[in-house]
Amino acid sequence: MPNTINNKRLIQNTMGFIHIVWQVVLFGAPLYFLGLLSFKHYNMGLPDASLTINNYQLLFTDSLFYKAILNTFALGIIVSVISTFLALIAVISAFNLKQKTIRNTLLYACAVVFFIGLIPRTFVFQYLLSDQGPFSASWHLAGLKTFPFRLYTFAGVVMGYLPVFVPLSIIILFIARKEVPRNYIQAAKELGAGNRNIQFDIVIPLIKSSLLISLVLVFLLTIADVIVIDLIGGSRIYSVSSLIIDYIKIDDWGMAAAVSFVFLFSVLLFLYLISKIILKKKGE
Amino acid sequence: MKWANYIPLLFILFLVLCPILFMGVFSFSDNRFITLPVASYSTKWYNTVINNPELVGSLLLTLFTGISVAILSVTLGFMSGYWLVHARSINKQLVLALFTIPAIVPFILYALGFLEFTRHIGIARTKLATIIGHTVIFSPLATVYFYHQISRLNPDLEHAARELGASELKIITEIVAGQILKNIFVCMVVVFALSWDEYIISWFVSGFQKTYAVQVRNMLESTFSPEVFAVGTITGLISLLVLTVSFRFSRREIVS
Repeated sequence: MPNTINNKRLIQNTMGFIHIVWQVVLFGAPLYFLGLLSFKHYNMGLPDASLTINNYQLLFTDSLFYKAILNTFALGIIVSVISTFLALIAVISAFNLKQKTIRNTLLYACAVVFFIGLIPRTFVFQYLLSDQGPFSASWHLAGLKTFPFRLYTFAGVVMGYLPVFVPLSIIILFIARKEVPRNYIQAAKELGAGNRNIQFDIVIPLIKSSLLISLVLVFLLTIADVIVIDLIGGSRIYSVSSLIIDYIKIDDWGMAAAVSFVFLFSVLLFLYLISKIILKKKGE
Repeated sequence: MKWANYIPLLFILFLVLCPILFMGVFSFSDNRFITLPVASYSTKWYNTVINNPELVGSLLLTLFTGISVAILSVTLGFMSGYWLVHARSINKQLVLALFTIPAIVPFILYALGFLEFTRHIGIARTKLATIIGHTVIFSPLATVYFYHQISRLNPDLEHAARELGASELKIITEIVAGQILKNIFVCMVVVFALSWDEYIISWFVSGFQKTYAVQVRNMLESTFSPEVFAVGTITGLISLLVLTVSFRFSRREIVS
């Protein structure tokens, strides 16, 4: 029997060990190389032999970098809040309906949409938001002046992200909403609670952690995106991803790595501060 | 007050579905330029896709990459998930959080470091590099998924099998994996779909053997062609088919 237990432990630990080694080598080492690269100065596409902090000095005096960081975080926050809010409305509305078919169709549609190629989808949306597109035409037809969500504007980029991330938020909140015990809602109804009370006092508190997951996930995916910001924002809406790609296009890998490294720490710091605020509020 | 529930639902469904519906319509347009209403319809862009060897090659490469990434990620995720469930004297939540870091770091940052790393180990701009890169970022999702699935299983079944003399390999493959076979399939589909659409790592490391996402992006950067809509519709229909099959598998768990 002790042999069996030892054998069991050995196999289980080996299974875990393989993935840990995999992650340390194939995730840790690239990050190390990224850090190293950020201290290399590139001249005509070739790195100097010595390490320098020139890239960081240049970066911190570059107003475009601050603009890119601000734009990226603003986009991340706004898109994650709007996506989660719209998804919450969709999920609450779907669960208020008696027909399960509609509810299931919503989940199915979101799952399918989420896995259909992002680039062709965004390209279609680029046309829909353009001055020749149907949205702008309908806006003008209604007698309104400038279409607020047109291409190459901040609002347009936010709009461009919604069809991409609302389905993801819906999937997350849908699964959480399904976990809410029916008898809680039934009991509240029998005690005379209205729909508004049920949603605000029972459902939303119970799916709070999923709301948080949706906010964080959409935030992370938005700040890392390079497709929507490029196709809908063009060169007018500048993000950190655009800055990194621009440096790569001129073969300045050192600056690209420096931007990446500072950005990585900014993201981790931001998430740390957010988690601190949330934990502090929970403590209160 | 039924309408009060239908209106936001319809609006959100429209927002989510309109790019796909328009993509389908434009893919059948006879005109090279996008206009509404569509003047005449044809299937010529579908013929162009089928006769474009570069595009077909990239689709096949992405299929191969996606399947490899799905198998690797699910294997690694299952192994680490199983280990985490059974591990003693470690902070499981902390280890799980550490496992998920690759999935939350912006992919562009990882891609840049990964390209430099692959240059040093001599696999830069190869299929293998794309497969490894995707597996690193998507396997953590499989770990989290399998950790939750395996922790829900009844541990007595494993004990009973062990008492009856089953080998550890048999317990893992037949007792544990056997009970979550459906979940393994669903996880493979999800990872495959994520790998299929991944752009930035592929853009950095795939080199001349471009994946579907990189190929489509390049097509849009040079001269615009409605081929992009045709290929988007084709892949959309394939995704629809694959997801329908996987939904059938997991239906009882997700949908009541």
